[in-house]
Amino acid sequence: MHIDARELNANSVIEGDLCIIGAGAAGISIALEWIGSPFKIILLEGGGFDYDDRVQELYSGETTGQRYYPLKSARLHYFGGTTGHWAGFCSIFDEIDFEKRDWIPHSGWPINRKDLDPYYVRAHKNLELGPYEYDWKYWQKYDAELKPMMKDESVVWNKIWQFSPPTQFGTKYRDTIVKAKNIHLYTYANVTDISANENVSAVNHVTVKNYTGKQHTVKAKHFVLACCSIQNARILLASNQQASKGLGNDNDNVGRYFMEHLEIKSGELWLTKPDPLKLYSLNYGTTKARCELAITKDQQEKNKILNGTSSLTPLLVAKKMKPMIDIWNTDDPHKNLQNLFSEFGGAIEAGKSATGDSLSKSYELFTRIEQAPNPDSRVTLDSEKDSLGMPRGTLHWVLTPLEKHSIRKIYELIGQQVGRTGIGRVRMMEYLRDEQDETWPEFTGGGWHHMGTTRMSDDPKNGVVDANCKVHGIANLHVAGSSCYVTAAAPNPTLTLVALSLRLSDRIKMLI
Amino acid sequence: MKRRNFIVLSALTAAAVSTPFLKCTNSDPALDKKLAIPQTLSQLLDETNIKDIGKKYGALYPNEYSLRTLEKQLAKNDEGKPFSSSTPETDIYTFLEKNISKDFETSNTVTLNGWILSLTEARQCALFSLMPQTK
Repeated sequence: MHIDARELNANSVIEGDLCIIGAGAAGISIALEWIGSPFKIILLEGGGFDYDDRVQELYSGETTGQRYYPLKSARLHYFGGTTGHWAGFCSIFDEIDFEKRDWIPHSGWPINRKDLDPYYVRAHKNLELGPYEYDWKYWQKYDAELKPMMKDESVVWNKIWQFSPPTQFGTKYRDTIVKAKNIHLYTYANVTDISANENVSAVNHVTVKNYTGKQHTVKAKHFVLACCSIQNARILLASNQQASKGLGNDNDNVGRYFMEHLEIKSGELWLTKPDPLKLYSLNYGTTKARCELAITKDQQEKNKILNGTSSLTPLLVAKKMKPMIDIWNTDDPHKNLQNLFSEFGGAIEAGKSATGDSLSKSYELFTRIEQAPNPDSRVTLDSEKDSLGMPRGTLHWVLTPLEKHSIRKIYELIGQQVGRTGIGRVRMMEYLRDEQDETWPEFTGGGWHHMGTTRMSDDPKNGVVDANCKVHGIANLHVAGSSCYVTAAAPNPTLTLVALSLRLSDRIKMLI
Repeated sequence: MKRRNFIVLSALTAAAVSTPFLKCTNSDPALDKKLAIPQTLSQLLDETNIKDIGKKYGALYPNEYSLRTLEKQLAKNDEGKPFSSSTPETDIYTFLEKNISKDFETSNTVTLNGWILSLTEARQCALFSLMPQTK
């Protein structure tokens, strides 16, 4: 059922068994798991069912460090969350992503890929993906034209991405959630504070507010914080009445290790014979799966690099696209989206007007890579407060030299493998050529993928949540979403965060 | 590209080898002409770009940057015996292509103007940049 918290009497007290804070991909995925159960589930969403600029404004905040998108428009603040405008790119993390890698400080999850595999299968359903198949040979059975550039995958391998329609959770699951008798969805219910018991060992209640000036209290046996990485950290840090540094922050880890995927054009592939390279091509809306070029575990270890991949776009088309960081540059997500579509339109036109084999002779190589976990890359609270009286979040995004070294090495390896096959040559972009240069070009951007800030660790000194996504030291507070990531891997985070949320849901079922 | 231009240039180079313009070197112009054309790269880049890559190589490795040295490095067969100008062109090309492939396989590469090149083909570019008609 749905309740608009603006319509409730002021100071209402809402009680249930499980309170999920945030109705994006993580929160809704968890809520769906509890439909028909004997438990009363309270699902709190700060916004409504549609975009509301007064609510979106609550996400505004300053950024420092590496140039970044405006925080106000980097996520969506209404039912369904940022799935309201995502692109649907999905792939699974590799085994190496979970491992402790001695060349990457602060790497190593307390869980591994096998722990997530069954949940990836389930997450596929939520995201309306195809079969849980990430070997390109599987997809080749249905289309013989899907051929790899390199048959020897000992250095560079072909990593599959699948594409969600994309599933917009707000549209897809609204009726299911609203019609579920035991799911109590409250819109316009922004959590501004989490209150713990006297010795701060369990959450007692959360406070919700909205712009009508009303405030309510929510009590439950268990609480799941399922906002985005920035907001999860912000809420914990701002809940500092009983714990001065914020809830779950005894070891000063909350907000730290903020990660993004570096998404940046990096090179060109020139072929001696035109080839549409269908295995790597993306026809948005129809392509079910495609490959990006990835570096094998052995080569990552040998070269001491981060995990990243390279996607291919016809150079004629790619050259018509401005860098995302220059397109998505206003506070208004709708305007940014229009800018984006306009750019896509120009690029698509360039593709349509291309003659002969010109589209399939050269390709832009575009990197998607994890950043090294970095405690200095962090979310903190500003002294300025939002309209609900909550300190604004600020982001200081910091990269390290390892990211640039890794991108450079990735293209050396791809270049060597392309050269080996004799199909053409690879050219690195200028900013990668000087090995001593650690600066980043103006067009460096992220994928709007916010990760880290409540990282997972068995040791409370090194993380905010344990291997089950429970906040260390607080018995009934859990965190869902990519804020729990220890490292970011190369794939877009949505599939993994949904899988991790389903795993958390199963865990809470054992506890409740 | 301009592979067509490149081929024309190669022909001009061949026509010119009989003239004694290579002063103070012991290189073999007819052999150099066969050695100095990177087959794959010449399908992608024009002569100006190839010359530029060659000059970059020369700047990085000045000790190698002479016709004689580059010829010696490029024109050794598996037994270490040098090719000569009478060696059939196809034999030299096949041999060089094999070396290029081996370079890529063993990471024996160099990055010049951003291009990730086999050491062999980078030397070919360097040799090309030194040939009198292309300087």
